[in-house]
Amino acid sequence: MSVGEGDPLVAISDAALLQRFMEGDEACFEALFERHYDMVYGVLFRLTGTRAEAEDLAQEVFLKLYMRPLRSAENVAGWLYRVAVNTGYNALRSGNRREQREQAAARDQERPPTPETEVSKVELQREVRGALSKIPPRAAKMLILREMGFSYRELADIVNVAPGSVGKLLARARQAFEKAYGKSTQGSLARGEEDAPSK
Amino acid sequence: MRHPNNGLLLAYLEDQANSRQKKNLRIHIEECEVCRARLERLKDERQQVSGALDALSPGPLDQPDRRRALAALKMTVNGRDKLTMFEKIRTNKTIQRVLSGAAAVAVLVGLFSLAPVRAFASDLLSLLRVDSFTVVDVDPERIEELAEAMEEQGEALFGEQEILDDVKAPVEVATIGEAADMVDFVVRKPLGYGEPDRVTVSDSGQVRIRPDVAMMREVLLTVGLDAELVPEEVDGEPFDITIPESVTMIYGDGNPDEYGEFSLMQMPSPTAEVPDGVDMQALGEAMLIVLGMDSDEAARMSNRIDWTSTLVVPMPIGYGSAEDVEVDGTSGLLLESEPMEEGGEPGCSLLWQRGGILYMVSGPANYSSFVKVVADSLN
Repeated sequence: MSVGEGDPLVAISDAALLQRFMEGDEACFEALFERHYDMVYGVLFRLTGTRAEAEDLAQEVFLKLYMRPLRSAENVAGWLYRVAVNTGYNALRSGNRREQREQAAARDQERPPTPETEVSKVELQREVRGALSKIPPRAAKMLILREMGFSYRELADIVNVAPGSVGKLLARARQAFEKAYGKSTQGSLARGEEDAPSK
Repeated sequence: MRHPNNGLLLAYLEDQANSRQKKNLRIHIEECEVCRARLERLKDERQQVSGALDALSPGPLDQPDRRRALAALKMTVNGRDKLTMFEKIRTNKTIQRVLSGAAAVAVLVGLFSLAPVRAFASDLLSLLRVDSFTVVDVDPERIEELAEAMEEQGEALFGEQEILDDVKAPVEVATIGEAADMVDFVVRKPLGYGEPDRVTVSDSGQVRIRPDVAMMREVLLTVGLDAELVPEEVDGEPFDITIPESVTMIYGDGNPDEYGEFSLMQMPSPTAEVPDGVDMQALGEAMLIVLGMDSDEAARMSNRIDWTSTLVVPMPIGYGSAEDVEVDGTSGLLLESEPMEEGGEPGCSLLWQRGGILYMVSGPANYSSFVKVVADSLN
């Protein structure tokens, strides 16, 4: 079956697109790609910091979707962002991609010379990523996703926690981040706070 | 209302609380100075963190380029034709669909990334109630030939497959106790390893497979085997495979240095219902021949196997080894495997059954003595 004109793919749900793709309609895979690529790339760019690596990993994520027998009932977006954030986080933590990152950075530097303000931004990014790699994995993933605008419900689905505990986990994640980031910048961000007062 | 916890306050601040919560919180915050101050602190904290994380957003030169990315992906997908047969099998969505329902059975075996082996193991050789295991050596070249032939057949590889009870994605829970409350069997844990990093619970599932004998015979003929190896009597008959609920604990996740990364999976033994009149021994013998065994050896082996209770684990020669070991007061099977495809990881798994529950401890390669220690420590 193919999706022709007058049957705009934009109006079709992810689940239906996936089902049609499983039946052999490649156009439906492209529609899923169009719909989710920017966000997947966004997650990966934030975690890796280079365009080249984010693109490579985004391709890995979509390749997995292409090759993996997802059940149509499964939440495609939830699956995609889960794989993206796990992949990106692993890249952030893993040293074996460092070389690749350096090469990618070199490729990125084929652009006009970097002004000083850009240099300090790169340093800032390095510190933020450093702090993310020091806090618990789930906390880091939740912070990135929330920052990108995912709702609590979506977050719960992506990181596989109960929707009711997202707020608490996010609050803890922010505290952990501040602590780690404060340490790395020697700033005054770190601050502990107890949960609900006892009375 | 008591003072809300930080989570609820944050949900309120970020407009993620439900309407009832919002109403209660609004009233409470208006009246409570302490919580107003807490809310302010949360707001500050959010702003600070958000400000820092904002530095990671892609700048104007790093915006996504969808069109280029899609073109690159298409090139990669097309280039995959040059890859191994195993990869091709994987990218064939018809085959994937047929296999996906039975894939849960493969969890038992864990190390089989090769689809056809999985299919034979789960669809045809794992029967009735599993309470013991045996390993048969299979010829990797034969597997590849079969894979190729099956791919050419395209549609309906093993016949019709019907999901009787769909398995939902595993749910992550916080503690072993929580997992134990969700399942109908006693959940055990290894002693001396602390709390697991992750605990997941998978619900049960059931799949019905009706073999298509004509199709299977054609596959056999393509690789030069006797078509009659697949008996006529199984054609269209329902084979129901039930995979019960399971609990998996992962230790050392992301921090394998502490005491190694390993997982423990436990579930009641899976069952399969086979139609009346099917001669399991003859069918098993045929499958052994299909997997590359000569007919005399297959007959001998088949006689030794109780096909109603044995999970037969096909081990491609040269890609792994198996050993019978004493574990948890019973006998188990220790498997060391090498990946059959690029990017696969070598690993080891220890599989045993006690009191109707199937256990599997898995770890990285060369950890066989370690997984045995873990297995023996179960409470």
